[in-house]
Amino acid sequence: MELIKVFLNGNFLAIIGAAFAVIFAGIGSAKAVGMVGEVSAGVVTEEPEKFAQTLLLQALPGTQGIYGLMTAFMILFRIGVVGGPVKELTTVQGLLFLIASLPVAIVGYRSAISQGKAAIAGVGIIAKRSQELAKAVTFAAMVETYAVLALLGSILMVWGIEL
Amino acid sequence: MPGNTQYAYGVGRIRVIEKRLIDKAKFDRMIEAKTTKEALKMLNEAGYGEPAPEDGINPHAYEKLIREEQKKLYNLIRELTDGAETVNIFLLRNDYRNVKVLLKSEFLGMEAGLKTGAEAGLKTSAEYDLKKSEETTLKTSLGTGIELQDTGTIPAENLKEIIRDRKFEELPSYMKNAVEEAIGVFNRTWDPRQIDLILDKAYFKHAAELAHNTSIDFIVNLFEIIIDITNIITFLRMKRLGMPHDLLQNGLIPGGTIDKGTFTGNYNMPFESFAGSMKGSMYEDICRKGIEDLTNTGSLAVLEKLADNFVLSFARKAKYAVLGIEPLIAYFLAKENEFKNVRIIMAGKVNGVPANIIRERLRDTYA
Repeated sequence: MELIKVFLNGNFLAIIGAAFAVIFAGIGSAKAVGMVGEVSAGVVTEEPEKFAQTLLLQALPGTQGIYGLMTAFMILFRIGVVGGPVKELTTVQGLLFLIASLPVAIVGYRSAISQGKAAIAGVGIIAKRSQELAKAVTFAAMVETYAVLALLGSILMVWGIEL
Repeated sequence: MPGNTQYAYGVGRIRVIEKRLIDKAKFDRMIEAKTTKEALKMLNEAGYGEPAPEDGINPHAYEKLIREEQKKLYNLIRELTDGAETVNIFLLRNDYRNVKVLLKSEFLGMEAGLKTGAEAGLKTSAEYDLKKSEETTLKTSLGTGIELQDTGTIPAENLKEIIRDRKFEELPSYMKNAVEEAIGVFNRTWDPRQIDLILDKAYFKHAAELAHNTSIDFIVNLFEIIIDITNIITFLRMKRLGMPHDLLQNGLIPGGTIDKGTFTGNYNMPFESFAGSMKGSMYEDICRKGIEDLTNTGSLAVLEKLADNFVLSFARKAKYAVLGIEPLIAYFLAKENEFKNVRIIMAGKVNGVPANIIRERLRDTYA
């Protein structure tokens, strides 16, 4: 009974939401940055002068993790865990925060990996023609749109929940 | 994310390394070279090693350079894939080739050994003819010197010991069975062709099974294509030589996409009938053009070239795979194809073959 009470606690649910945003967007970014890093290391082994270009591409899928953290921060701020005083949420309010975190958690995870793949393809361009960095970056950056949209969705929801 | 990030580092390196493959323009320049030496110099500029001073005047020095480059390729692929089973499928061919050399040399009463590329290469390439396939070269090489190549999955010296001491249980089961069968059949028939037949067949069965186990579509399909093409060539060659029907039955390799009946059913019909049966399949073009040339000139050169190009164009599909082992395998095939082209050009140069004929024989390039 005690456990059910915890699970229905509004603050508990809101914090799970914040955690989801950090966890999934973070895992996605970590995987993607790691993948691009491995491929880049291969390129740099052969042509060390391509370090800067590949590093830029590697950094691209890292933003999703930041968006996740931003969303978490806003949730924590709204419920007073950050900046206090802590508000007592109803179960519904807590659930709303949890749901609000999902866009950035899920889309963040998927888009980071998709962006990582586009960035790897971009590293392939750099391996062949290092002067085409701008094009390589553009292709990968297109994916960013959807991570930003998801972040926007999450933020609008988090700010819109009435307390 | 499918679990194919394993080779990400290797993919990165291959992306750079594959730029150094010899492209068509460079091959063209080599074909136009006035002397063998000039062509050899271009080969050197393309990343192949420098011929040793004592080979400087030897027109066959290129064979040694190819051997060196081949060794580098195998080492690179082994390094980048961390000895993955998938790559062994391709290296296995060299094990079987070594086994063939060992068995034949034993039956001929000769000692097989690991030779440096120079000695081995020079001897084989002396007999190298544009029309001769790699296999024939190997066979002719047995007359003069016996060479093992240390590019398989089992070190050549170990293999030699295993065959000499009859410790077959240390071999993979396909190889073990094939070796035992080959020895048995040879003792009965004294026909060295049987050794080739049995071991080639075992290789393809072995490789096809490993390919199947990888469950990577690219590799499974690649081997189906290689088996189909090998069967088509076996069929046409045997038919041209008028070999008995049961030899064909025995020579065909299972595991391809073409039904065995298509071959056996067409064996006693004209060549055109086989080309007709291939209509609508992906080999339609190869068979039509190849058989046209076969009936006109009696040679399989065009068909073999088209077949090589077909395999390469399939490999090219993997060129832009973002990750996975595919780009590595594709590079491996591209490099092997490059060796073939270098051999065609250099052997042509050495034998004074006109440029237009060399160009005709030349395979496509991957780049």
